[in-house]
Amino acid sequence: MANLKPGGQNPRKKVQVSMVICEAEEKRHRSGVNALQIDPALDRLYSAGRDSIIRVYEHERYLHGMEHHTDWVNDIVLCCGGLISASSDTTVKVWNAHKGFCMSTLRTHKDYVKALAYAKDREQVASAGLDKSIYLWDINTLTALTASNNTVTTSSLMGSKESIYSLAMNPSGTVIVSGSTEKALRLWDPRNCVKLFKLKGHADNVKALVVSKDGTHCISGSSDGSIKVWSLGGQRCIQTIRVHSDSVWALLATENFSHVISGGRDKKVIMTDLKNPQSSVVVCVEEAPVLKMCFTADQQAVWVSTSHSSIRCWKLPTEKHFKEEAKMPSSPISLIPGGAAIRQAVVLNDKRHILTKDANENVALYDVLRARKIEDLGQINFQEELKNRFKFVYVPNWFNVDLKTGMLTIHLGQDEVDCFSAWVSARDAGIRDCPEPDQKVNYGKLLLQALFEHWRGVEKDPENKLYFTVPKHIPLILSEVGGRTLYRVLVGDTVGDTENALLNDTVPNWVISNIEENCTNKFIKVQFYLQPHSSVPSHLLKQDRLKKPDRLVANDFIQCRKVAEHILEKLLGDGNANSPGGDADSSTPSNNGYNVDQIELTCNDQILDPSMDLRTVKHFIWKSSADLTLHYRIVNAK
Amino acid sequence: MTVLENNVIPSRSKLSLKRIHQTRDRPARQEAPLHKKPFLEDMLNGYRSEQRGNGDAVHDSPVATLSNMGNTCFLNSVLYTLRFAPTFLHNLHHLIGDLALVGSRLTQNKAKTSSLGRNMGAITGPSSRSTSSKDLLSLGTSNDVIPKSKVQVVTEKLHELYITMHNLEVKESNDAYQPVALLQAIREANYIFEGNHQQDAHELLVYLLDNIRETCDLLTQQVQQNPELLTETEIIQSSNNSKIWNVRRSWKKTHKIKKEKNSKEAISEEQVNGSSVTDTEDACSVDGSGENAKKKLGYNFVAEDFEGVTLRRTMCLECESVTERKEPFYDIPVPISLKDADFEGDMSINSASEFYRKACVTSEKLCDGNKYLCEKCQRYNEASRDVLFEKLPNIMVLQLKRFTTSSAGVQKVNTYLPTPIELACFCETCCNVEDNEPPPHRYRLCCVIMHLGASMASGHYIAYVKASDHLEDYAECSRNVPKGSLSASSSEKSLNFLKYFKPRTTSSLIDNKSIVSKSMLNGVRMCKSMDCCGVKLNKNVVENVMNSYPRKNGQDVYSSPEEMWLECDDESVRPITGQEFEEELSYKPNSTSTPYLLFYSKITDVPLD
Repeated sequence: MANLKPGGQNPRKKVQVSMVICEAEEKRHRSGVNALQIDPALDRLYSAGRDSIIRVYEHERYLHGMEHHTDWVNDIVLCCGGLISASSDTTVKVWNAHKGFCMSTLRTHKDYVKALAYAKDREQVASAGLDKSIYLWDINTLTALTASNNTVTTSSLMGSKESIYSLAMNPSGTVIVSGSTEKALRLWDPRNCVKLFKLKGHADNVKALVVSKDGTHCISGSSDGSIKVWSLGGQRCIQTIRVHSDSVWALLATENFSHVISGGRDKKVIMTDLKNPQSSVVVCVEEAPVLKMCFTADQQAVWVSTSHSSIRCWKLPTEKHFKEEAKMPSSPISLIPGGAAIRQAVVLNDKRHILTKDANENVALYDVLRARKIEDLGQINFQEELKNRFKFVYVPNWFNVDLKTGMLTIHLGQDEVDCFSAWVSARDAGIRDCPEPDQKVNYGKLLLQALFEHWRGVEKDPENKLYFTVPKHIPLILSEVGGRTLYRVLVGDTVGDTENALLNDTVPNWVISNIEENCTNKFIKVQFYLQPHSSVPSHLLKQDRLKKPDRLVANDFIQCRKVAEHILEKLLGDGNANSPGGDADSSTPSNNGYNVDQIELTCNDQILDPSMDLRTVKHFIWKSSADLTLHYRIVNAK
Repeated sequence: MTVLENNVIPSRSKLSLKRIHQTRDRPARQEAPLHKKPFLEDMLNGYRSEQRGNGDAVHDSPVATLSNMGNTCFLNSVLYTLRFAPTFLHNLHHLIGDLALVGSRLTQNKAKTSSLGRNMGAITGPSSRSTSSKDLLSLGTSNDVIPKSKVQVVTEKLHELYITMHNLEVKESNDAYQPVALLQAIREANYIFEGNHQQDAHELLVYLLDNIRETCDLLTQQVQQNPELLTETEIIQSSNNSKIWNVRRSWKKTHKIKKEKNSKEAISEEQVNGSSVTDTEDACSVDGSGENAKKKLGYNFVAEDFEGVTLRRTMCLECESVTERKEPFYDIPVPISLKDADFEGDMSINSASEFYRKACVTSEKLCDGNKYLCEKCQRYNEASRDVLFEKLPNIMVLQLKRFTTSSAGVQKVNTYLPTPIELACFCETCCNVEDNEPPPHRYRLCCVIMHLGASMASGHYIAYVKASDHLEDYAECSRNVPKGSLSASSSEKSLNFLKYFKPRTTSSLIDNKSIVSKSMLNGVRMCKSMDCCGVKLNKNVVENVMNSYPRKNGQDVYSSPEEMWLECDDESVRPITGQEFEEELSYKPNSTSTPYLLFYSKITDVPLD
């Protein structure tokens, strides 16, 4: 249970609530595709996306997605009936590949997990990442894990000094090689976890590795642009191939180790004959840097994934092409189209709507409170649209946006103060048929209530329906602030018993107390000074008003009209007023003959609209963190 | 010994006679030569007695000295250093001149009295020891209607101090001068230098350079706000670009110029000076008045000479895209991480250079909790960050990080670091040069500020400067060269000087005795500012020390004056040979006398055509 109860591991760390605004089914990759695997028996292609989703295609048609990671999936391996994935959310997950659900999560790594390696004969998988560690896992143990029994032992391979970016193992599991920013390859014997030796020669990070079946040779691709063939017996480099003009990021070797296929930052996939390295054939030129390749079932073509979302299948050259007797086709034999990642997102002034632009230049509008896209605007000018949508209102921030997955990830404020800073009137929040349109609602609270609606049956307020709902498919993520994911669950799944228990452990107390009770509202206060304009006749002012300005405290959403009312009631008495203090009942109409419309407020010599609230005045007109100063004067009523 | 005296004394008196001739309109000056002979002998005796070990070094100073006013060695060491830093005095002089000019014109504009500026100068003039009317003017403007910033006052006081030192050298006075006025101005402008305790010399250096930079900016601002201050001819950019190369030709060609004429020329310049009359015939006289306006427009010599540019290059390890950010800097902090043992033995130039290159050109990996937010990947990734130098300044200041702040307060690190006389340049261009090609620049040590003692509060500062009056800085004053090419010109100029005069410098130094005014030297026009605030080295003192060496060490004549250094320890300035200096810099176990600020001047090796 320990592994699934992360909340208990580090009780002191602050926990953050996040959600991802996505479609019920994200059929297309939103961003780059980091890894590819083929299941030749079923002709199924598995792809690991930067959008955190692993997708399965059968005969090039989308079958289903596997969602449980919360960050880039960096590598996947297929093993008997299962699939192992490594992600930048620092976890390794074990999946039932056929049914597409996550069976267990391994949280041993402390940083992004970048690479996996698989030894088929021994049913062993190794994972490595930026935490410099390599762990060896027994697949039979992993696939036997359940939610209630997921304690697993692992052996680790020690000795790496820097972040590991690539890993390879031969099918018999006699040798494992790692590539890292050390610029050297390190080798171990996975059978006894003994460190073997180090191979130096590259001038930069090593991001791609292949080991021959018998474990005697190894090919490495580096960010220095070269491909090196190493003799592991001789512990030396026997061949250096320079066919790419930029970093080499992906490698494949043919069954008999006669040819190497390489892809890289220069967007090219090149096949090279190892016996005759001068003869190499460009398989294709992709639209973006090549991240990964895998053979088709018949080994006659390769699937290529890039930092764009589409996956293409390209025919491999044959003997004829190497002899330059035939030309390579210029188009792929098959294509799995990708979707567009959101590349730019700007939170509008109302702190509720987000305007986005995706990789295809399409602009869209999202509503955070409803966790959905509300308008597709097409390929319009983003900056112009932003300008058009500018509103002269200021609402404090209560969330921030993250685009690392190509979708909108909303991180709510990290504590009560941050999360519940945005109070707006029910009218401004667009809540219809509310009995009191001026009643204040809190965005953070509304969203939290919606997210946890199905958990513990948070009751809908029976009196008024100030209620938003978010779609049930929205993933809810609880994570350490700026760190590891603790728990990910779909909003609709929070009803389940297991989920319920896990949420009890992870949801921070301040969230629980705020969504459950009709809690006391903690409004944000603004301090300000009120000073009469020189034109205000002094006889109108109550005594000692002239001496020092009034320092007042009010809720930040108070409108100027309210301030004017206050002035009328408390500060302006007629000179002969019987009650010298300001303790007159506020409900009694003022007796000095003026009405609210005749009070004009100014800030920095700018006249304030009565409907403007104080935080807007402070943000847009006062423009300083110092206490706000307002002046008032009396104008003639129309 | 006697031979030496016979050689030296007549030459000195000859020189002083000519000085009298030059300054005959100032009777006060004549007193100096009257006491000349006994005084000089005194000096030589003093020197010898010092060599014997019981002498008083105060009496034979080769340059004017500054006295310690109580914990002010931090100030003195910086003042000595700046004075001997190549091109600094010359540029400072022109800055002050420009300020005065603009200031007086501003006053004229405001008061509508055309002669106000000069009148003021005349009024305050007599009380001053200065030799040039330009300086009177700068003094005068301090009473001006236009209020001056404290920043500007500090810069002016600095210049005045150097004038005073120059005058002391002309008079061959050995009285140590108290830089009270400057210190006062500094303290008024910046409270951190208040109080009579020891300060960080580095902090003062940074402050002074910053101050001068601000003064330059102020001037630029004034000119930009009042474009009417400059006449049209002043704004027109000079087209004479090739002047630098003319320098060398003229140095080569003409040698004989009548001295009488030279001195006359110098005087006439002084008369012209301060008015806006432009004499286009004479480059030197133009210098004082009109032409310098070009340089004024945005010319910031501190930025040109002391400012370098760092390049921060960050590469995301995921997408491998590179972003670069450039930042200007004034000095390079050198962290001290070595153990003494690493440098105990002899250190070749290469390994010392390599050390400084590695200490300054750094590479780090942004990882773990310190990942880099890549704009392309829109996430935090590992990244590599390299700090390189796109441009290194003409005068590079290396600050050895000897003072570390820990829980126990500020502590001094006494670890030995090599101070190479020559340092390979580590700017990006030089680092990327192919192995078989020579790098385009290198650096030569010109000044060192040493810190002696165990802590910042109790320590003492001594400056070591190369004994030179930097004549090359004044040759063919480059103020006619358009903005932008100035820094290049100054380095090329010094290069020319090195190339064509190095073989001769020994003789030229001795030949100096035959030169009346420096405004012409070996046929090259010298900027007259060298007669205002320039260093006037007492060659005899230096040469005596040099000549005493063969006897002392039983070696052949070893030093050329080029290789002489001055040890400036407040009121005591002692010439030492390059060898002595290098010994001073070499490794000594457990020594608390450590180099702190290293000043290197850039040498640009341009292939000869």
